[in-house]
Amino acid sequence: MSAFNRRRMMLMTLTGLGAALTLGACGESDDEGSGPQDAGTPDMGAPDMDAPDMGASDMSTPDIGPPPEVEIPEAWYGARDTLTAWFEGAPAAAITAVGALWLSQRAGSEAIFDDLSPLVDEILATETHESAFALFEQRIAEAFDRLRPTSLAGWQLALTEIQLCALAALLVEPA
Amino acid sequence: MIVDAIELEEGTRLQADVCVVGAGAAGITLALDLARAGQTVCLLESGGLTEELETQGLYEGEMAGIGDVGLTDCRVRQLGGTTNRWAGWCRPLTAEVFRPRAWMPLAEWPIEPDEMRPWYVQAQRTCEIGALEYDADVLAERAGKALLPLASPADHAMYQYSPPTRFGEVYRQALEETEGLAVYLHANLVEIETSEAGAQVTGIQCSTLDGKRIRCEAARYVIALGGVENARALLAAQDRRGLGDGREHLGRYFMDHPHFYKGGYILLPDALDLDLYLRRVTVSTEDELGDGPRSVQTRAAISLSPQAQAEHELPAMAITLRSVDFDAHQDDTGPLPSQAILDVVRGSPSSRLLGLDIRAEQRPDPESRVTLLDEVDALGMPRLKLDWRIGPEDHAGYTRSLALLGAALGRAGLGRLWMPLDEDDTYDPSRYIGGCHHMGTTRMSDGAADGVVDAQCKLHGVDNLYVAGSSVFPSAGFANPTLTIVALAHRLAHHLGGLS
Repeated sequence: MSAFNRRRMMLMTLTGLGAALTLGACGESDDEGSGPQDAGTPDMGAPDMDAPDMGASDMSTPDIGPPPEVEIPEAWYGARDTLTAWFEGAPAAAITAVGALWLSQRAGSEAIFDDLSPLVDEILATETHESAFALFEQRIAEAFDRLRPTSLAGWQLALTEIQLCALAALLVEPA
Repeated sequence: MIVDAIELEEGTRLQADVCVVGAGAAGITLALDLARAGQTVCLLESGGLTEELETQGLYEGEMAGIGDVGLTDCRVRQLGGTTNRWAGWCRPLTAEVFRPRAWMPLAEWPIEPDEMRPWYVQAQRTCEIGALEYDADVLAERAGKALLPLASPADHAMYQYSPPTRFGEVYRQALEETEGLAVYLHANLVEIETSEAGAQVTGIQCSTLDGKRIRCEAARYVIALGGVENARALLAAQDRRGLGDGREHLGRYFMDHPHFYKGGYILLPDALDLDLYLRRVTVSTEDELGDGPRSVQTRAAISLSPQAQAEHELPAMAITLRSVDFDAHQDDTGPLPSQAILDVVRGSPSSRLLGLDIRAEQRPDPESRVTLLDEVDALGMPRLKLDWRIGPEDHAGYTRSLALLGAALGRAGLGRLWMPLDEDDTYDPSRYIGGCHHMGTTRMSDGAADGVVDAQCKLHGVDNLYVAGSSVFPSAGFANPTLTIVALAHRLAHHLGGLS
């Protein structure tokens, strides 16, 4: 195994949640390998996070291309609890829709690693959720203060809030 | 007096100090001011007192370019002109529009913004609105309504609403009774007669639809036919004998305000008071004219600050908000429904979804233009072809403007903005429609090298021919043009009155 721990988890997560979104809108999925069992309750798998409200979200099917296979460094999983706490109460479908769309626009695994590594390093360097949250909020505020929002499917968002969704989509196991 | 040209004898010759062709907002304002100042005025109008299909058909032409600007729908040949369909939105052009903008070539007006103030003050009254007061804080306070705590670079832009003034109805009695003023209905311009060298207009030939000819002679002539029709009439005259020095610019630089209804969405907290943004609120205003307080309806829009426009080299833009049903429209935002964004933006309060109705400026583009076709109308006037274009710089500018507004909303902690993007990540141009604001085809400039009329709206190289209306605008800002059309008409009347 290389420096990266190759996993298909992310791919499964994304296709699974994609199927969930499809089911939410259409009641069925054509996605291969993402049957109803994957689509039903993909919560974020964290003990302190509410069960995702998949049924409540009336989303249309996201027009998201196939996500790339990503080699996720083992160390990144140290950020899971922080992400889970940050997104407490947020439906997994929403987090994954945003995160997966951004990931699908990256040019492969290395690009994803390069783009997300600085944020992961910062998360891992924090000692408490609170200090991590303060960092996220500062990053988000800075993006808007610099008048440099990131456009994701037309939404003008802070890159940090998108990347947090992407990380959560990558790192947090579906139920 | 108001006379129906159909009742006149064939070959009737009219004489006046000033002959004004076209009785819309500009023509009526100008004619009344001139007559009240002691000039004799002949005001020629193609239409009658009501809209007539056959007369309206004289407008038919061909569209090319990016979209239909409503050659027959947006313009009205009737006493009062297009004010018969006017929605009444008023605000003056901002000072920045008059000044040079390095990123927008040929947009500079040869008029100082301060020079326009007294004419705007008069125009406010002519358009039956309040005082020349557009400060958001002042109007909001008078309305007793809250303004959104916008962060830079977002700014407020206020509108006032005319009833709207139907100039043909509201000023009809004045047109009938003002001494020295004669209005001729059903008198269609068919020829601008010029001297041999084209440096002087010697008469205006008109015809009724049944072919009766009337000729008007005057010391000075004003063409006030509208933003497109002014160019058509002058191009036809130029084709006959040549006219003026600005011929290479005549008909070019056509502009409209591209409008995007529900051209984006924003999420804003439910708790915010949006009354001033979602409906018209009545306020009382008073100005230096001394005719007491005047009530007017006002409404707030969101724009970018002039500093941001300059720093980011952007066209002007204003956005009014539209209340929409969240559930019905949350999927309008493409692959990421609005609820998903609310869910992932930490700390989002209970929010509402608002549609953005966007009105934007376009850069002056010489290839956006009016030309004449070989085909003629029922009176033998060449029909026109209008090729409306908006360049990629403007598309990029709209995209950047909305991104900046999105950043400003995020900065203020108010919410998030969505805009429709095409494959190139620029604002989706298929969303444009025209705003029926036809401008620029006889642009104003210091010299003939850059435009068609001078700062007094006189044709370069012609001693006695003037143009009134939005065709003289060198650039458009985002403000609806009628108030500026009327202000410029008051200004031109003052100028022409001073010449007598």
